[in-house]
Amino acid sequence: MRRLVCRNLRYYWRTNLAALAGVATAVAVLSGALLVGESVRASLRDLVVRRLGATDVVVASDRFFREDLARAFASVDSTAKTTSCPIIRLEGALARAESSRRSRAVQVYGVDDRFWHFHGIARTGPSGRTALVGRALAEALGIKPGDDLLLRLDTAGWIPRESLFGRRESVGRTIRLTAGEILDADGLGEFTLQSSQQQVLAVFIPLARLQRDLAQSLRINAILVAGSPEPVGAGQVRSVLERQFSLQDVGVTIRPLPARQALAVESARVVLDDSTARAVAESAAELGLVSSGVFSYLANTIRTGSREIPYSVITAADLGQGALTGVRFIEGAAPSVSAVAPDESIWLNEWTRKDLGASPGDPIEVDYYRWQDDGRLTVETARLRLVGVIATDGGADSTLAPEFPGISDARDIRSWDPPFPMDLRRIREIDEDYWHRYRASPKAFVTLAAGQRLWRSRFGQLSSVRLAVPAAGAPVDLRTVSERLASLLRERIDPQSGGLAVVPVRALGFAASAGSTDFGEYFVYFSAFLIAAGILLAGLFFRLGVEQRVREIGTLQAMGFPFAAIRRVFLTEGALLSAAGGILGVIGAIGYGGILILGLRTWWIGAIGTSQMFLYLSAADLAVGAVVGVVASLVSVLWALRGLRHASARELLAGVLEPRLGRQRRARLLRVVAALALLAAVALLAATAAGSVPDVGGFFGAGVLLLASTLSLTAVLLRHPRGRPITTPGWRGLVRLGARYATYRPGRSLLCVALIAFAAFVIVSVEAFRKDAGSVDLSSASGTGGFPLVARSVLPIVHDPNGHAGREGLGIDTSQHPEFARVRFVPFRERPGEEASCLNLYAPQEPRILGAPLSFIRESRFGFQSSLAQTAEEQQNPWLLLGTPQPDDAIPAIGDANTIRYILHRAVGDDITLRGDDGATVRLRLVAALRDSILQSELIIAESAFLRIFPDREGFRFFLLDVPPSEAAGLVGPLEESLADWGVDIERAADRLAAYHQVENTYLSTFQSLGALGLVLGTIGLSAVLLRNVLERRHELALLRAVGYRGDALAVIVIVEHILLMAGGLACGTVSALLAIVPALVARGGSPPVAGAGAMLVVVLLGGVLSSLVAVLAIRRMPLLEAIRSE
Amino acid sequence: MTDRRITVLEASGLSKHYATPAGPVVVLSGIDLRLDAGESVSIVGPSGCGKSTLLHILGALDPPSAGHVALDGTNPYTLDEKGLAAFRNRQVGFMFQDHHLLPQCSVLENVLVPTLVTGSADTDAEDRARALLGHVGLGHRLNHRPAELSGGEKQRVALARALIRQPSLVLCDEPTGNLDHDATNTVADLLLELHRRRGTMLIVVTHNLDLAQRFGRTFQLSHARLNQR
Repeated sequence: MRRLVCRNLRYYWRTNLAALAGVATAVAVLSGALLVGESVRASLRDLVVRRLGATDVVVASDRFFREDLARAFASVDSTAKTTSCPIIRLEGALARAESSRRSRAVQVYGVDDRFWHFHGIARTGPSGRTALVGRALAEALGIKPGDDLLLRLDTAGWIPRESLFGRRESVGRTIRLTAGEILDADGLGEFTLQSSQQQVLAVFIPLARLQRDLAQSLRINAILVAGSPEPVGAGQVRSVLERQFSLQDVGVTIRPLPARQALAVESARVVLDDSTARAVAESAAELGLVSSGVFSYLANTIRTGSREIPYSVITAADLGQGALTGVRFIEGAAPSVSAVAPDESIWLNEWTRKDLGASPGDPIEVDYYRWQDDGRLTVETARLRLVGVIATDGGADSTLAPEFPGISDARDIRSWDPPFPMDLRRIREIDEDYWHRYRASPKAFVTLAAGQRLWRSRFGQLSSVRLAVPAAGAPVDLRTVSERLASLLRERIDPQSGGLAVVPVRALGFAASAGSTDFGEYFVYFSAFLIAAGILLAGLFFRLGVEQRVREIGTLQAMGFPFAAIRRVFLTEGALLSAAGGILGVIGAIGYGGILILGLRTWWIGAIGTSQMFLYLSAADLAVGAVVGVVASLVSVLWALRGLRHASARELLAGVLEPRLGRQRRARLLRVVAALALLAAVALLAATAAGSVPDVGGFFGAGVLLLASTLSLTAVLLRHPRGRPITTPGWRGLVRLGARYATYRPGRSLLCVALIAFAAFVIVSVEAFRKDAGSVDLSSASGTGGFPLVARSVLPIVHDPNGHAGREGLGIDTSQHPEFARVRFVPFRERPGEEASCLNLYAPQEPRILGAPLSFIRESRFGFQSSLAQTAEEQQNPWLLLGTPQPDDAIPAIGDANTIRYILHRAVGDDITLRGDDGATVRLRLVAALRDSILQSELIIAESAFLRIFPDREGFRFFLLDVPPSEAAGLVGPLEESLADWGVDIERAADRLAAYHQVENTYLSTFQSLGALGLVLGTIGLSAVLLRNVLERRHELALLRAVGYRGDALAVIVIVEHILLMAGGLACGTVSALLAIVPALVARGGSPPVAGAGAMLVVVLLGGVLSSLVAVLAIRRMPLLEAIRSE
Repeated sequence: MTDRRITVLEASGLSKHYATPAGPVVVLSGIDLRLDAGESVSIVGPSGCGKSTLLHILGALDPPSAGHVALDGTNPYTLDEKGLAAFRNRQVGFMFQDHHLLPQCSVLENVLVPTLVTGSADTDAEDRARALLGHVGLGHRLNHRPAELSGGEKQRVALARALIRQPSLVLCDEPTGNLDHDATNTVADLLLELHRRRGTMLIVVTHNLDLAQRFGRTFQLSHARLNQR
């Protein structure tokens, strides 16, 4: 038997070689596609390693903390070493001094020699005003060593800009630098702590210089930590941080007040956040101290009748109670004994009462500033009633007020430098006298509850906590108490909620490098047709081999070979061929994978946006591809042998593979299948029309069913040709004879038709989803929401960009640019995070979040693909869902359908978890999905929810600009120029959408390219079948020549057969695909993808005709007499 | 269809040799043959003696190395490809040992195959085909496929196909070589009957001496020479 197999393999080498090539193709394509997936993952992982340098974990804050803290993380023991490095890390906008070109989103690093040492790089610097520039940034701006650079940086301090004492007018600072060396990737020129495959624009400037320019001497905002030989873990770093951080690092100070035998706990942010206030109260209780909350604010005016006092500190505190018992009341009493409702009560100090001439019971009005969330500064008035008077020096002194920057240290009131408007003309001499005598001592008091109601913000509702040793206790050393309090507070304050985040950047980078897109999976899909074509071709050639030897099989049966033995012979041959094909395929996989990776780096770079992709070989992927390919091939051998069992030896000896009866039976069965598939398609369409099935799924399913139906019908026609006998002479007769040839081996012909049909289906249906990058819909229900422009800023904008004052503050000059007046900004708050669109290959761990203002939500812009809307109002405007409370307190969020499905791998109704500013886990619930929008890079929540979970994120950094479409393009340059100090980058919505579409279209192109390659394979298979048919029929063709058929008549017969098979396949595939893409056609205005898909199909048809000429040539070269002699 | 009838087949000085590595092999040498209308001849000889080669030369399938073939005064080898094909289609009917029927076509269609390239309407072709098939006893199996026929039946179809264009010259190459005794007789009877009815010239190559004797003249091909027995 072994010898028989060997002989067979050798004798039928041509057919066997073709089958082997089919198997090798399938294995090469499948393994190659899997290799691509592994390669993308490994390349992304490499990129993480290359860009992070030695960094394992980073301790980072939005605020500055002690540089000394970095030392705490360095340790050495006998088995492991941990090193650390302090840096300042900021985002900025950089420009060459002599050029208007500017790069925003530049990663700015303040580093010194320790940075390079930390990463094991033998270099020093930079020094002076020298900046080391990453190559990508240098190339983007054309920077050469020696160039003057202007760097615009955010100078965020501790005080929130959106609080009363935050400085809004100077959010940034420009630093002049000189370009030094240009750093390559190997020299950490692409250093970044974020996972993205996009270019990194990095600049390194001297740490000391940056500290000086930012007025943050010996302070930093990030510590890099690395372990050796094993990476250090976040837990280990967190543990060190919890032991070693100081209250100063989280902006908390304890101020001893010896005169009061008390302590004041305050925040560098002016306002104590609630969790710190809680920790202080608990710690005080543990130490046996009495605590009282104090909330001091600034009143613009304290007024009664026509008399008023300008710019005064007003304190909310429960005087006479707790730690504030030392306050001396001259008239009236503490709130608890007042007859007036506490919320309406006000106490004045004696000086103020006299100045106002007020008496208890008099109405007192207090005007004060409040910053609104939309950036407007408003003046509000509290209407109160005087219930008491406090001695001016009676215990309610300036220690109740925190350090107001620009105020507390001013020599006089006129020297105040407050971050809000002041009318210095209102300052009187007696006001200055008061200031000189009592400094920031409050002039008026309200209850703590009343003050908190009036002035609380998301940043907190206390300016300090006063702690006093109980009067009955023994005198204590305040210094000792302060130290004990600090110790307890450090135990209770989570440094993370204090802003010191521990981020395991390496681990996160590795996790993210698994990718948002499994390219292996995608390329298996993309290559599916190629794989199928390879397997079908292998099956086809196996079948050809079987058909070629059908008489031999009959002979073997006649000689007493049981069918099982014959099948074993063929299976053994098939297994040997498949194994050889598998081995060849593995080699081919490396080539195919290499070509795909090369394609991703070049032709399809639009899909990944980086050329940093390399082929990585994975034995597992190669083995999987080989095993699947070989098994599929063996199945195809079995398929090829399937009909033989039922054929008699006599039929086989006569060369009959499928007896007429069997043929008819099969045709009947196929007719039933065709009818059932068609009925199912109609039923699915009806269900879709009734709304029971989504449009896309319904039509696509119907299209696939129609394809099954038409192919079954083709099989019926091939098996059971109908019509009058071929009697008409001339071309018609020849054409009919050619058509009849197609029915001779219906299995073969059907395979060819199916190959072409699948390819046509793929080409047409994929083309329909191609997005037009050229035009954009600017209607409000479109993916642009009707906003022609989108803007992002490096620095947060805390002004109202639509109000007069805000525009003035931002430098939007409508007198010079009247067109600016027609720009309406829709500002969004932004929690920076990872790009959540298809532009990022890494799986986003913490996606970018936007906070949408209520006014935007009510506008009902953009189109939605799906939502959880229940009410008619929500269905009409799904944005309203952002304000719908979820039963489990999850926060409603909206994202683009593409982002939700392909990047986050979620569906509407699913949750996403991320971390709030206090380090706590926050759950977002996806309540709606936008359809093909410009908001694919982020998730959107309501502004109110945003401020709740990200209270530290200030201002607006993302804007949709409502402008007349005709003016949009002309506004970009001037607006960017006007807002340059904020590093504003304005993009046309069309361009933004086109960038997303380019990725999608590139995927589609990839799909189509590989589909077309599969089609080429199919066409090659078709040609091979045709050639095989010609060879098999050489006797018949010779006879035709003998009876007077010329070469051109034979060519017609062959070409007709070929074209019929191709046209049949194209028709089945195209018609079915057109049905499948009806929703996409409707979306694109009913125009079918004639240009792209049509051209490709015509090329396919022409290719098929050309390939049939090979068969015609074979006929022409065929020796007539030898063929007639049956030799 | 043209009415032009070839009444004389003349072959003179025909020779055929093939070049081989061992030198030229002479298959036919100095063959002379003349047939008149309605005449039938058989050619016998051992296998490989060149019988089929002679038939192919006479049937305009294979040009001779030397010599002259004239069918009613026309040497077909002087015709261009188009003329030669038309000549074969109109004037010559072939019947081979292996029937070479088209497996995908029915019996009727197989008989009609030569009529599909006539270039002009052959309106009664189907009627003739049916009649011919009736004559050969297959009138009831018009729609059967070749795979469903016996060897003798297939040869009868091939005979009908050879006669469908009403050729003047019918060439049969071992027409009964694959048939049993009864089938051989049936096919031979049909061949002769149709030959008589239609008045064609008939040349049958066979190694079956009994069969050979049923034709008007019998030639022996031996050592490249043709001699009448």
